[in-house]
Amino acid sequence: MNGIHRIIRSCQNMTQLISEAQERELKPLEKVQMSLHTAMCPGCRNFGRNTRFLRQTMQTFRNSGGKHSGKKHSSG
Amino acid sequence: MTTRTQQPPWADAQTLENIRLQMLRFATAQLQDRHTAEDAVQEALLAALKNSSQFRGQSAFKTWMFAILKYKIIDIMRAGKRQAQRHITPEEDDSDLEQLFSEHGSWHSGCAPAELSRPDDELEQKHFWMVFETCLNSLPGQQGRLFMMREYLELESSEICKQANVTTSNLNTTLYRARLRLQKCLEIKWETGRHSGSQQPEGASPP
Repeated sequence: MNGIHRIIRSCQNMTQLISEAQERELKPLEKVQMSLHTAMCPGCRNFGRNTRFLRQTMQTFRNSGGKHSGKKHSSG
Repeated sequence: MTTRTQQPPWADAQTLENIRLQMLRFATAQLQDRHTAEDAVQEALLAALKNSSQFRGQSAFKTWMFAILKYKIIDIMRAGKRQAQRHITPEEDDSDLEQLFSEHGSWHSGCAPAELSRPDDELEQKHFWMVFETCLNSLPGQQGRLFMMREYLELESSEICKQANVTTSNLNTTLYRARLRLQKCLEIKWETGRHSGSQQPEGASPP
């Protein structure tokens, strides 16, 4: 792996970090790595959007048993 | 306008039994103990039936019962009433997820996630929730259990680690795999089905 890869991490590593961001506050360096990586990588960008969508969907699921759309959620 | 007398959901034995079985499956997965789960479901059912007159639709009734069950499960977990922890579940087979990435950890071509779309109208919403439940139910044992602890019971990581006897790093990896698996499932069953209009989800169940 070359230098840039060490800084922005691999997609496999980055998606794990994106998932972890749902459980804990990322460190400043991790945030920078995530921004840089997702700016360049549509796959990981989508993974991040989908991960936040899943959290919103689960919120609706808990509260309504799945009766409402995922449209009215606060952004996450 | 005609007024139709609608039978309340709890009056139909089959409906009630279906919901009870779904609750039992969920409680057993969470508590890892069949007897404790039976008790929790029994208590939740009784509590729900006491206030059942306010629920006309089956969906609202089911939601209400699961909401009660959720707090029963959390109470039981916190009180440590369960029998001794079962053996740690063996590592689940995640080789299909590994195959999404190359040896250097980049997405294999065609494997990068697409952005999931929200359902548009009421009909689509109905379809979406059926697919969503199917995907939730298809998560392997430990992944489903920990994901539901986090996202349905809304427990903090530290508490899940304590309750499920896993390390933070195990938990994070398991949640990550569950999220990746769910996304892939939705991509196949929701996005594809949505465009072809032919995808029928199999039986949905928990909450």
